[in-house]
Amino acid sequence: MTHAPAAPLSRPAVGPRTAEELAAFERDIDALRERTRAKVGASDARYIRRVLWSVRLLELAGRVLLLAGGWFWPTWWLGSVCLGLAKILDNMELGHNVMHGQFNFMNDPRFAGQDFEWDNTCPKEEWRHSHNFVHHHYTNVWGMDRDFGYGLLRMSSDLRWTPQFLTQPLRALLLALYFEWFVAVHDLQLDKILIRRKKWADVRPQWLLVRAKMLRQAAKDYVAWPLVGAAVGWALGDPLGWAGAVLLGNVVGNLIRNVWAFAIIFCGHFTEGIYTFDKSCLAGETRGQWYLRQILGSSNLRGSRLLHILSGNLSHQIEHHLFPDLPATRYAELAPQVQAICRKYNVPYNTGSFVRQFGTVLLRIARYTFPGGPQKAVTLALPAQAASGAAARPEAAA
Amino acid sequence: MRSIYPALATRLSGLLGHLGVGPHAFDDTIGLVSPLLRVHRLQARVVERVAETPSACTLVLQAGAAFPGVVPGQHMSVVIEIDGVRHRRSYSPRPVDGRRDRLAITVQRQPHGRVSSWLTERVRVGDVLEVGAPAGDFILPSMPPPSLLLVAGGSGITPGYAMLQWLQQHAPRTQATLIYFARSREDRIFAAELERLSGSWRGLRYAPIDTLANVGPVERGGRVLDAALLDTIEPGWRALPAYCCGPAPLMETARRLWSEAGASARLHTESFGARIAVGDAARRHHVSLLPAQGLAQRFEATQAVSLLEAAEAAGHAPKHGCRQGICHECTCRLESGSVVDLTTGQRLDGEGQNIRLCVSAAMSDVTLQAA
Repeated sequence: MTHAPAAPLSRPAVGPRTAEELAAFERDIDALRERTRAKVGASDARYIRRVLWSVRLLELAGRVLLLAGGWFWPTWWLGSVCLGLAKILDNMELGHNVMHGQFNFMNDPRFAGQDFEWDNTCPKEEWRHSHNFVHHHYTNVWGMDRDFGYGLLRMSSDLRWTPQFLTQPLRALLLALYFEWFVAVHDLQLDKILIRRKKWADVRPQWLLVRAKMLRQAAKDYVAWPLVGAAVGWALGDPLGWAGAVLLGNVVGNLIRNVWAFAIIFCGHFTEGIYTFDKSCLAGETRGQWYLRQILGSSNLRGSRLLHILSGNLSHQIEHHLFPDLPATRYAELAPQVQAICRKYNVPYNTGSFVRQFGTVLLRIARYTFPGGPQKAVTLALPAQAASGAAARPEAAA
Repeated sequence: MRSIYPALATRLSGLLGHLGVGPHAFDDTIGLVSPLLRVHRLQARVVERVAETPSACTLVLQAGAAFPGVVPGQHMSVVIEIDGVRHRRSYSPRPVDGRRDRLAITVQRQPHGRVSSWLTERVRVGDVLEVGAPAGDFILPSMPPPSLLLVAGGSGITPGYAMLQWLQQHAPRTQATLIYFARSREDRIFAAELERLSGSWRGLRYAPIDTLANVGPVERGGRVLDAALLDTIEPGWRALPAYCCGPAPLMETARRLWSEAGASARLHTESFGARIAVGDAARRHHVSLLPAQGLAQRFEATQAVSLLEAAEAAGHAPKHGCRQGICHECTCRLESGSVVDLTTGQRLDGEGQNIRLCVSAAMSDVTLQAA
């Protein structure tokens, strides 16, 4: 990789300063995790079943309103919004959390992380790899975490500026509108194929999986349901009009979900004050350093209970990144305890209202459309680690 | 005659799949009308409870039209939920009244058994339990043999009793010998029924033996399964098809006796209960990892290494991610055997739950199903 032999990496002036402090920090978070895990049980199971039924009822309401009302605008709008909400809840509070294995403890096939199929064009296998593993394991490590900019956007000066980034606001807009389609092809790493660092033949098996899921989703939302609409419309004398109303309702439902998911997910790692990290963090990284990286690389949203539910509890992004496989039902009670640990070890805890956080995300997109910019990857490796890491990997120091 | 409902409902469910209604959604929704209408994850209603012994009880279950029926000797999974967690156990059902959708299971309460305690103490008439499709090859051949030998210990009588009931009704000319170990008559499940059966059916020779089936030290005068006992009760045992079900020591003895007699091919065994985890950390266990498609990957593992490391050491490459228990890419279902969760030290006994290969180690022989 063309890693410029730049200035020595800086260490953030926050967090545990010595190996002993770091170990104590790790113990505190481990203990919190175990205390919480011991509480997981019937109430979490009840909650996720309620979410599942809410998704089903919302989708039913949306479908019925679109079928029954056709172009009658109050039912059409309500139906489309219900459908959008159903998809938001299905993807975020249900799918994302279940696919992390958070509810595997229930031993219920409806909530089994590796079997759950969501209402989204991204195949579950692709998501679990690109999200659960790549993103959560390498969070905000420059060159490793592909969610940082999605191979599409320049979000820090770790990526060298070229004139192509002048189109960045437009790219961000397209990403927001067609979020599920971008997420579906995310793990194919098309940007690397474009610059010939990967071969198409290598990703073809993945592409077949993605294509099958895309076709299935498109057939469901844009063919099968409009056909049902046409059947209803035929009985009422206007098959084409009814099919069109259902089709457009589905398009709008998907758009609502796409834009909302984009906004929430971008608030998780691209707000003001988050850190990016250099690859040197990874060599010999302790669990404590991993925890620290997760906190420094994530940001929360403050808001009502409804915001937490509709964001799939990604409003508790910090807690989610520390404990991705603890049920999201526990994040709200974890938050003050995580904050207390952060205070104790002088670790910044990045949180704010949705409007404020999303505002800083938009500013970041705008800022890095142009050359330069202050954000640069840091390292969390302690001096001793950095020395031994460099000794072990001489090519990195060269 | 089998109703056309299951075929129709399955077809409808398949069609609704194109509209985004998955099998679980279909089942859950139709289950609101009646749980017995489900076609994917079946449920059965408890219609009768019968106390068999102080610690065993029989549950008569009414299943729905989609239930495929029971072949005597098969086992079937029963699933109950305790504190938000589904628990799965296998029992040997027997058909009731010759009906395909009516069956009975007999449950022996285990000393620390969560599920068996729940089933024997908490379940009431009218409750609904999830049941799996009956399976297993511990069954009689399609042409019943002219004579056969059954050996049972404790609650291992349940598949044998199902076979005897069937034989009496459908092949009463069969000569069946039953050797049945139990602590005492009071603890012997089906004691009265078996006595009645042997009185009314001349084909059954019934030999109840009042000792625990080769478990622990035998009291003075107590009898165990050995060649002498078999010779006394059924001198021709070596030549007969034999069916043995009971505690592990009984089964091990049976396998040894039949092997020494050169008759292993005629012995059918059915183990029940979890494979016991051994405390010895250095002992090598057999692991069988069944992928979604293709051949099973077999390797050996000790409790000292994770299952992922053991598989890789044997040249396999199971799917995995972070190797620290976070990303769940290496999740597999634990179908049987015991593992220890290395992050919590908790022991898990196989009932189909999800485990992560990278933070689990084998405590016994285990069977895993890849996702």
